[in-house]
Amino acid sequence: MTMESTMELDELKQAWQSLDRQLQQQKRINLELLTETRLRKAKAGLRWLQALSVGQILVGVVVTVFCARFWSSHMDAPALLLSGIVLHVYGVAMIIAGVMEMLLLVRTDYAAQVITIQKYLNLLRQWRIRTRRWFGLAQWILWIPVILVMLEYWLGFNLWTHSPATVGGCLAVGVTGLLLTLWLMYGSPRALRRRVAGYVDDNSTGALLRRAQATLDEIVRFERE
Amino acid sequence: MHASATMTADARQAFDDLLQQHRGIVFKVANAYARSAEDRDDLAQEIAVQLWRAWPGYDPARRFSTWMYRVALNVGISFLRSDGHRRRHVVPLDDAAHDIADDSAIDHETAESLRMLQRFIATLEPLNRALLLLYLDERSTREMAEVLGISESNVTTKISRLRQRIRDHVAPPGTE
Repeated sequence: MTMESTMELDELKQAWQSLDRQLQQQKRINLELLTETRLRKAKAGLRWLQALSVGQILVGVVVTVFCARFWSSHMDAPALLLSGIVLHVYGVAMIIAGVMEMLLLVRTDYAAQVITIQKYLNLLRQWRIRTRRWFGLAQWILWIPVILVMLEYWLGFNLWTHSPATVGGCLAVGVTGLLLTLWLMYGSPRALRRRVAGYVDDNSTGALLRRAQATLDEIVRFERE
Repeated sequence: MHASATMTADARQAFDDLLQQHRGIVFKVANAYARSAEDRDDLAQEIAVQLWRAWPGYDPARRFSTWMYRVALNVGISFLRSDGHRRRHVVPLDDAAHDIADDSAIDHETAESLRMLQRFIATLEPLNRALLLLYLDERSTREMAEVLGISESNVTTKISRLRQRIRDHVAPPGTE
């Protein structure tokens, strides 16, 4: 049996090498031509993605600077101070997310060892999925400090002091929406969750995250065994 | 990408020459990680683009094939794992294998072996697939370890497991 198996393996190697010869001889293959076209497209696509990331970082910087100045000049108004700080944190998160996206786009060194680069890509992928999900969920609450800060900044109108009930109502809507979304994502019956997932972008579901974790586990196993 | 844009004509020529010389690696990886003809072309192009981008960082003191395998396998594995491409993998495996092996230049027996091999490759996880490709290409244990980033003893262990899996896959049902 050992002899037969060895022969079979040799046959497979020979078959593989004949495939190699066949591929080498194929006249229709013109890598240079293919690469030129693809490279142009890739460059255009990369520039666009880089521009988006740079845009996100710039918006994050503007939000951070604006909010830092805002909350530091409203130390005597707790609602405005808190709103400014919340948006300040959001601005910093935008900068970090933008920088990470840039790293993913331009610093991925495919010439690194397979295990190293696959781990790196997968960790970044997990990070990206989590970030998108939390950025999405944060929108349920963020619109409230945005309204408070903008009203104060443009109209000099402090909504909290004039109508705390309105702010409370907005907060109730935001928190209810957030809790409902979290329930739909994690706590609802599986059938309903699956139905909801059909309407929601795949990136915001936990399935992608679980898949990314499974891939990471697979890489670690491969490295250890 | 920026460095490659400013590459000199000589460097570009050197890259083209090496790429042509080792282009079999590109197509073998594309064959192993993509099933349909369309996906294979797509992946071959993507590998070539990433090789071009990584080229300014290539150290001529190192083996070109090792460097090329790293890039090609990394791109191939990422291609296989990307959700979009996974969804597009609707071509039946037999058709894909038939497509690859269907050439008058290859005798019937070899074509059959290739189909079998292609079916076996499709059952492997992306990293084991990379290891098998290197093994079939008769790379040394050291080079395999260097490409993948695992120890040489780990490569040897995994190769012996792969050999067993190939035996199980090749053996007719009921044989020991």
